[in-house]
Amino acid sequence: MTQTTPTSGLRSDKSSLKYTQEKAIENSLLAVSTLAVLSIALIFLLLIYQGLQGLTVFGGETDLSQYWSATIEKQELVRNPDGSIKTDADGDFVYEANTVTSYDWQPTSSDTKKFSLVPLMIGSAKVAIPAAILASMVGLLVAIYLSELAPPQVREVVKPALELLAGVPSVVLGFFALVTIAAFVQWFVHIPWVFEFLTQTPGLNRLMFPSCSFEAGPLQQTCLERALKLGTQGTYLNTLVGALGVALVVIPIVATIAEDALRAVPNSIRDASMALGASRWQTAFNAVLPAAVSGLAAAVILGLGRAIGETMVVLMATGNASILSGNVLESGRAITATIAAELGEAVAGGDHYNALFFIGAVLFVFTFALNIMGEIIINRARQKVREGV
Amino acid sequence: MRTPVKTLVAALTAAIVLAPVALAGTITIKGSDTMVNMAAKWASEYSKKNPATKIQVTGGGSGTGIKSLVDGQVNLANASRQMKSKEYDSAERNGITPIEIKTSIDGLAVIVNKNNPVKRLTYQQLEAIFTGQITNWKDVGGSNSPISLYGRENSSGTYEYFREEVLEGKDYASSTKVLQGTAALADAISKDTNGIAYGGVGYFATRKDIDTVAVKKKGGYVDPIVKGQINDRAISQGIYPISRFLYVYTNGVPKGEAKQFMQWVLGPEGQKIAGEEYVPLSPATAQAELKKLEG
Repeated sequence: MTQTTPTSGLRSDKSSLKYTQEKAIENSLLAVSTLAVLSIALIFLLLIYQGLQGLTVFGGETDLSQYWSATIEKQELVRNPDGSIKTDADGDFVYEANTVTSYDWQPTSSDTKKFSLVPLMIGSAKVAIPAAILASMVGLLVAIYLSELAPPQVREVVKPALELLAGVPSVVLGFFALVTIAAFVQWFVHIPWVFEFLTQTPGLNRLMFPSCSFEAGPLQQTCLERALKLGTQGTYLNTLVGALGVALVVIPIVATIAEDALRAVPNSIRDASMALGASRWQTAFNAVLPAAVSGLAAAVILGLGRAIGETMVVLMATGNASILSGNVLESGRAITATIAAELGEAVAGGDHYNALFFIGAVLFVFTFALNIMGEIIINRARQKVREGV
Repeated sequence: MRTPVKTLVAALTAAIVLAPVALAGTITIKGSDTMVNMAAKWASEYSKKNPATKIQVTGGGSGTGIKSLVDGQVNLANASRQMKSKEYDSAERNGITPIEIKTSIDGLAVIVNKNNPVKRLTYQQLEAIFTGQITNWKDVGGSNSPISLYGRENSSGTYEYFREEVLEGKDYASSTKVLQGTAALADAISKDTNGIAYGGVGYFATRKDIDTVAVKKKGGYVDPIVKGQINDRAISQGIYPISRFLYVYTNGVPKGEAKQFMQWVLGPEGQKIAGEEYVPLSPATAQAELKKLEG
């Protein structure tokens, strides 16, 4: 009976109404924050479950190897030795069946359905990688300028403009890419010296061969001859146009996150650098930048994730041909665009439907791996900075 | 005294009371992008005559439209191909009985750039071109330049019909650039001198920057557009080989406003509009389709 309950600390007084209230608030906040974790887990489970259902191992119709390639009988035209098409007595073309390895995405074929992910991954990479590189360069420079060098008046205009760009719906940017960027790219690669540079530099000519949409004349003839020799030909709607459009989506993301990272660097570092006689420019690049490197890496990685996931711009501006070509001035079919274009008409539960979920899961795993990789890089960079300091 | 708040409340009440009435008079149509212009014209003309009836028309492709009908989301589905047995199966599972009604005839034209010297192609040349076996225009009498293929999304009825009719069911070449809709194809061909594409003839009759190709299956070459006019006679009599019916699917025999609308579509006014975009049904076919509406 002499024992008294401590009443000094509110928290330990478990019977008080206030304690129960606070605990309830705390728990409901915990529930809300776990929502994000829960939904990402559920999304992942759904993708994996539906995607794996189509596999033969789990009682489906598609073998895992079919997502890579398929061996098919293909009817091919027979050519005469001089290259002309061979015809039979009735003047009909002669075909012969050849066994070939196909890397095709043809999920609604009337005979063998083909589900190779190879062209789709090439398509996604051809859009996302150039877009991420471009957006990182522009975004980081903008962030450094805004955070370290820009006078307040400039910052007051540029910063809201960036936020506005982030708010533009991607379908509008897609339309802009389709109409304006496509025309610009077409004009640019057809400037004679650019054209010469792109088509005459070995290696580059396979990566960036322009379309031959010149006015009929000697230049077009040259272009066509080179195109036939290389076996590649650019098109009006291509992955570079898509990548430029996607870069517009990604730049504000990279710039905003990077700017936050730079502003989080304590002023003591800037002051110390200045005190040693460094200019603002030297301070920005040699003192602030290394200190913020983990945040900047995070900005770039989140930007790349967004570039891979972007759908509308890619669907509208890349031409969506599922080809095996590394040429960024050729068309490409990205994973996201494929899902968007095809899920609406795929019969629910059919092999096409399951295949679309499977590629969705692949996309998810890919971005997940990217995030983990980013996390590791960030941690290493952080450690280095700490050791350096 | 009427305050703004009171007015607002009155307006809201009116909206809530009247909403079911407005909904009752709404017909929703979804499907084939080929038919969406024609369906929109039908809708606006019909609504002028019958202001109580609201008609919503959306595209998305025949597959999408049929899927929506099967899922019970729309009243009518436009389709530029017949329903497949798989789709009938899933309709049955959902308790939906699709009824097929022919509304008009579409010729599919093959288009090339105005500056392309190739103006006629045989069926087997088309097959070899679109399957990627012929990749240079010189193999079909053109200049020595690569062929640039354009086509539709695989949800499109046009995609499927062209594959079955012209490619003998073979796959399109993977290098085919896939664009959203026939108008986008026409734009692309107008900019690409080496391009070739296919699509509903109604989209191309008025365009000066592209040319339709005369096509030969058995007899002679037939052009679906002659001097900017759709070649109605050749298409409706089957002399032009790449032609097909355009269908509307309903859930069961249509009743009420949907029925009246379909009767109007198959009647002289609806068929006149069909003739502006495509080719109208022959009177005998139109009569036969009208009978289906009686159940």
